[in-house]
Amino acid sequence: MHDHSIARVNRRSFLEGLAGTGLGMLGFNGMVQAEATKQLVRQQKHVVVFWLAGGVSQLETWDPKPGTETGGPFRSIATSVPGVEISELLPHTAQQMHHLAVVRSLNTNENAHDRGSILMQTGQPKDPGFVYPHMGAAFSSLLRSEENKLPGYITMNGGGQASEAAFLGSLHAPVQIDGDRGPSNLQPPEGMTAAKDLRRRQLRDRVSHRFAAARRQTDTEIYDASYEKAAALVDRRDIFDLDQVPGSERERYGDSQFGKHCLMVRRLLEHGVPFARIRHKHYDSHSENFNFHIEQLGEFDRPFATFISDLDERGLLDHTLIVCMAEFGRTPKINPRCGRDHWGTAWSVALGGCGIQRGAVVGSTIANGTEVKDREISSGHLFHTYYRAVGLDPSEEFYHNGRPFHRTDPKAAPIEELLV
Amino acid sequence: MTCRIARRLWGSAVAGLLLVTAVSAALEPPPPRLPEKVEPERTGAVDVGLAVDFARREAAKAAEAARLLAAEAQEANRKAAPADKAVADAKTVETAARQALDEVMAALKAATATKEAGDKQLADTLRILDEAIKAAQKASADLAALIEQKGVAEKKVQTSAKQTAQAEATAKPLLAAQAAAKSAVAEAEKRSVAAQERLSVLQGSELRADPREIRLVRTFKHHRPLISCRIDSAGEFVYAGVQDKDLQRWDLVSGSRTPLTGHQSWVRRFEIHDNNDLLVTGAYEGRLIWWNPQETAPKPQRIVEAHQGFVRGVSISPDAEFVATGGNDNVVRIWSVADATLVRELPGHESHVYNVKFDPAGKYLVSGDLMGVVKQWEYGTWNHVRDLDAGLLHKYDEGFRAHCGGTRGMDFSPEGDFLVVAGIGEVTNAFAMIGVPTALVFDMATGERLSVLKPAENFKGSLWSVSVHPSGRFLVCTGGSGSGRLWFWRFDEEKSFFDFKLPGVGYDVDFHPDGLRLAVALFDKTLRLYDLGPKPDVPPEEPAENK
Repeated sequence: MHDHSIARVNRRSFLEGLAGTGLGMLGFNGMVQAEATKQLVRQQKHVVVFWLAGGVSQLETWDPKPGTETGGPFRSIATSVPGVEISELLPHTAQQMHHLAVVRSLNTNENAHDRGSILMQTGQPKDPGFVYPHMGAAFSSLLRSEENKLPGYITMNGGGQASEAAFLGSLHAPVQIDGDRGPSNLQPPEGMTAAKDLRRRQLRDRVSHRFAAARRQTDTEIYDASYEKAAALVDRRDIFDLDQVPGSERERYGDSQFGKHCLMVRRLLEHGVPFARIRHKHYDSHSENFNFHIEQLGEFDRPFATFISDLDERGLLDHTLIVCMAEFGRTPKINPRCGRDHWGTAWSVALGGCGIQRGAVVGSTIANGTEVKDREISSGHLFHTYYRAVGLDPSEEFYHNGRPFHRTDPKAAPIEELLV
Repeated sequence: MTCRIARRLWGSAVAGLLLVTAVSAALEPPPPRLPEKVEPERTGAVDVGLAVDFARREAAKAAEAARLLAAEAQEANRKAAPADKAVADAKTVETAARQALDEVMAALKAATATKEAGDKQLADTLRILDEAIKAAQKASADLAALIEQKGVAEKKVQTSAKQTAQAEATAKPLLAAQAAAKSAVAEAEKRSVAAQERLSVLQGSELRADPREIRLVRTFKHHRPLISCRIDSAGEFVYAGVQDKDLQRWDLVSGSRTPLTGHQSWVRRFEIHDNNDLLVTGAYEGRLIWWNPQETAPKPQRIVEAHQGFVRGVSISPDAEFVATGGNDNVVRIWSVADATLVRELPGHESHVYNVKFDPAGKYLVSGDLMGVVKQWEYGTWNHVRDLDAGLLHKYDEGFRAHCGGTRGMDFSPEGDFLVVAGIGEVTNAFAMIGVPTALVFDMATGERLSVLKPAENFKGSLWSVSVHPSGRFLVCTGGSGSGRLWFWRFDEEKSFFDFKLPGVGYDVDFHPDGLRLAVALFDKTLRLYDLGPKPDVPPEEPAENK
């Protein structure tokens, strides 16, 4: 079924955008100018990625195989969706499954951390000839409001690199937040009043414009973009001050850094940030997979479930696409160290929120989980689905240095049964 | 109309020709006429002159008439000229038509001949076709008959195959049983001989277990990796937890296997009381189960939902009054053996409790956790006596932000004087389990660590279990990483005195009550029984005086 609300940015509107910006090199930037995309921005769609770095095990999360040789020691538990079971390591998430959907038949055929990471965050295999923007930068360029000066792409707990923005430029590069108190140096220096700060900024702007006049625009915009984003964060530093959040609310997210990051991201969404990635690390369990998954998922489960229910209660979930994924899954076969190794052949991701059919389960794996049984899905399928879910046309082409590129893998298609 | 005119002209032209011919004949001068001989006696007399005159007049008249006719004929000829031309043209056309007709006739003749030949060929073909159809019909009929016969034959084959399969199915277990029985008899005879030999050797030797004499004497195979094992005090059965729900029990003599069903996850820890009348198992689903090991097919006697998460430690007090357990909820619990009720909760651990163990003298209980904290509790009062520092067996990996290690194996010396705690030390990569297999020996009188035991060889991996020899003279640990080992230490030496390579990673080890054999639970889906006693095939040492 075709979604008529899709903002189709055709070549003409793309070129109009191109003309409007006056830039020689344009890609997704041009699309942002299109009226249809502006409408989307006004609707303020968001995307939040939970990135379980290292490769969370699908058997300990979304595709449990209890009782089988590969199943491990954990049981599966019922969820809020009748007939759908997930691992007992996610009891709180199980109660939010009616807001989520699971793809159990992902085959990315990629077992290396870096290539898997690029594949899952760009929808394209690593290409030595061209760098695709990561989805954070891409959605920032498509969903960020011109009026909102906050960064379009925020990544919590490391992993953010300026190169993720690729040709989209530094405006859409990730702003990385580590620790549990937000970005450092948010507080102005002692004696710096708001009025003084304003004068300081105005002075900086004048100097900056003089500086920019003598240089290529692409060189100077990096500085401007960085400064603009930093200034916006300083202006809205209250977002990161969790002491302003009622204690009962903080309690629900827990005291872990991950829980605080979830709460911060909720507040960032409420302030119009279109894309956030929350990294929860250390799932690369080549030994003692079960012990490490108890630890890691024990920390992940409750804040994640709270985040989902919180967004739903606040009416944000309908506008926010949730993706919970990693660079690959883990081997069904248990190794002699009680570990699981890398496995991109048959694994799972979870989605939810905006545009997603809640409670859906797509595809399956065979009894021992080593192969996809039906409805094989690639990262390309997922990217088509992400774009459709937020109301964008996934098949759009864009041009970079005169060469056409597809926004998503043209051989793939949206997972229709996963879309509302 | 044109044809009618042409016919009329044609008729006129013919009449004209006849007339001209007649007129021409009339206008020619008569030939001289000779007087005919008159025969007076037979005719009347006539006037010759008159007659000639008449004749002249008539001739003139005739000539005139001829002249008129000639003129008419000339006129007719003039008029008939186009008709003549038309006639000539028509004749030409007719000639051409006739010629064409002739050609057509010739072609017709040829075509007729061809048709006749074709007809003949067609007739021949039809005749052949007819014959072929008849042959095909006959062949079809034959084929149908054969297919029917084939169906019948196949049915017979199926029926007979089914009967064969049934017969084979009936025979298979019998044959298998026969073969198994034969094999078992052979095996039993072999084992009997070996046992007799072993008995004779043991009877004639100074009994001493020597790890250097280690040799495999029995392998019990399963379809899942093994994670725990214990031999009962009667030396009759070996029990093993596997990466599955059932506990497995093998008869050490017959090799017969009995599954003990009741848990929902892996049984990593269990203990059999020395009286051999109580088996308590703890599994990763959080349950404890009481069993009577003396039953032929033991069934759960009591089931207790004991811990939130894994049960990792189970120990029965020597007086068989209490069961101590520990698990992932960081709590140690004491249960009444008699009725499986909770006697006491022992809080204090701040991480998963990996192990619990009563000392053989029945004075203490110790519990160890992931962080390497070993707590000593007084039996009966359950008061906390002190903590033993096994922190060398724990590492918080800053890179991976993960805790690694734990008190993976614990055992007391026979008198309870020393406690050995086994695990992994010097971890450099938690997720790849890169560290040094390490065991710590504690003096239970002081709580001090006496020694740090490491393999003599350079090996990276973990210890998963420890068992102290009943003599108290040495201990064995098993573990590994990619490959497995048994490491043997003496209490007074920090480096292992003997390292033995296993065919897989060992997860648990237990000495047979005879002190000469040990069982190892391996990841390679086998439970292996090794003998450390004197070798039957080695001739007894010659008396010293004969040397």
